[in-house]
Amino acid sequence: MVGIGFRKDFAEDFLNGNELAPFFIEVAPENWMNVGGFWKKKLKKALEKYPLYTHGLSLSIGSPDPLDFSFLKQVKSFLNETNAQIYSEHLSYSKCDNAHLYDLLPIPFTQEAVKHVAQKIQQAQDFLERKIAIEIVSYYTPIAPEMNELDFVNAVLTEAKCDLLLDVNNIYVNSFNHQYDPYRFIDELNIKNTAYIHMAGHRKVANDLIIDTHGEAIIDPVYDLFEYTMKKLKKDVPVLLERDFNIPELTELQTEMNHLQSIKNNVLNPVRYAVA
Amino acid sequence: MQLLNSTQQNQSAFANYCRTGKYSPIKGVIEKRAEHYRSLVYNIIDDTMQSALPLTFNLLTIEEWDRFVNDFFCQHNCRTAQLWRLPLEVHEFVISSNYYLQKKYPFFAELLWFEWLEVELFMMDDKPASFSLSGHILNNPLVINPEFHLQYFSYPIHTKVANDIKKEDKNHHFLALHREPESGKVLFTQLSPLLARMLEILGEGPRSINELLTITEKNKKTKEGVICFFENAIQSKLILGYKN
Repeated sequence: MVGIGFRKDFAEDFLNGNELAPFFIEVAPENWMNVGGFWKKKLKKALEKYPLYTHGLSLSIGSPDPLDFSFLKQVKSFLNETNAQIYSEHLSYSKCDNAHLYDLLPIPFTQEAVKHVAQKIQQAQDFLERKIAIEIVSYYTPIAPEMNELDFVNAVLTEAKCDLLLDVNNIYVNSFNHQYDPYRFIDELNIKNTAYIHMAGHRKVANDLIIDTHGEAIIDPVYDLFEYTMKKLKKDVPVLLERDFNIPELTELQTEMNHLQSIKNNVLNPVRYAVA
Repeated sequence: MQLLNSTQQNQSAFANYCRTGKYSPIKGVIEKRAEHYRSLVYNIIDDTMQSALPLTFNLLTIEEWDRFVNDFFCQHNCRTAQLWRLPLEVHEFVISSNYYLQKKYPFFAELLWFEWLEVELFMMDDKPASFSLSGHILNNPLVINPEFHLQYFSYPIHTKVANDIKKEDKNHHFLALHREPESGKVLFTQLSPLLARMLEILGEGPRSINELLTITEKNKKTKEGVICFFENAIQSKLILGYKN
């Protein structure tokens, strides 16, 4: 199964045409909950055809601030009303000192943060009465780290008993920006509870820095890492193509989705040739 | 469990840098790369405000706009988790801080409020209404579209380009905004004080035109104009129909 992020930028063409044929769509609950009128009609039309996966932006699970339960209550209603198959969020913080920043800031890799974040994930899971798939985010600078990224992520996954959203592009971006081997990272990452995979493009802005833009096509090294990941996983996990900016013709997105599906098929159902 | 001070302080310092652009060294942070976070975060706020507040953006000089965005983001703690609701907080910030641009542009807060109302009406959740399409224009109680807003302004921000509004334009301006049910578009209707009062009454519950005329004590001469207005309002779906 390969899905696509349902973007307002191409909603009309997507719903009225047949260039794009995803297995599912993904939205951020924040952008659609408590919304009526024009966009509610569009979402309703999309949900008549496709199952929904969700990817939150504002829960700020890594924030020093406590969870916002009134926000979570709205998310829960939205997930139930739309029969969302998955709720995922970011291992980052986007709110601090009672102020939203609307982007994904890196959590300090510390033991204290592990305990704090894991507890918040558990609280959120209990409240929502469902598992959350947590995504390892791209980051460009560490903040006061006391452990490495891999140990931090594995510790959170173990303590929080949550699922993993494995963004393969993010692993590639982080490995480039922080100079480690992405294949070894995948080898050592606790991928047992991988419930969802994200794939996207990025932009290299300097010789030593890539920004995770979701505004370009997926590059071959990321496809290669995806294939490697699928071989490690050995199971069919839903994959999402993320494209948030610089939207191309929908046929180009379908080509990328076909490529992802074919890699999955080849790994999970390899063609066996008879030996003469 | 609460975070120990050091982790919390580092997160707070980093977030504060992203909001203000003023960097003080934070353990482990690569300053040059931290700048990307500041740009990403600032651009989200700037883009959201430009897109939701196009009239205000066109009114201000580039310097005024940049300072406005920066002041808002530095000084205001954004509470909403939903970015589309940010214009409401921008308006709150201008009022609560008695923002300096209100001196140069006395209609500044009204313009922001007007732009927020349009966003809110376009985005807000659906409000159901029960009505019939058949009825007598004079005698049957009219059902107003519940997705509407009645607003009084001191300046003609809905009829004049913001740059052309002068202090002398200060007067009484009434406006109805409503969401057209089929297209979801927000439509604007300029109102006389009498029609504004009639819509206000309809906002409390269905009434016939005859009842409205009696309540507002208007004579036969006014009646034709009122009927014409409500016939048009039915066409535009400001009035949805008649009470069942």
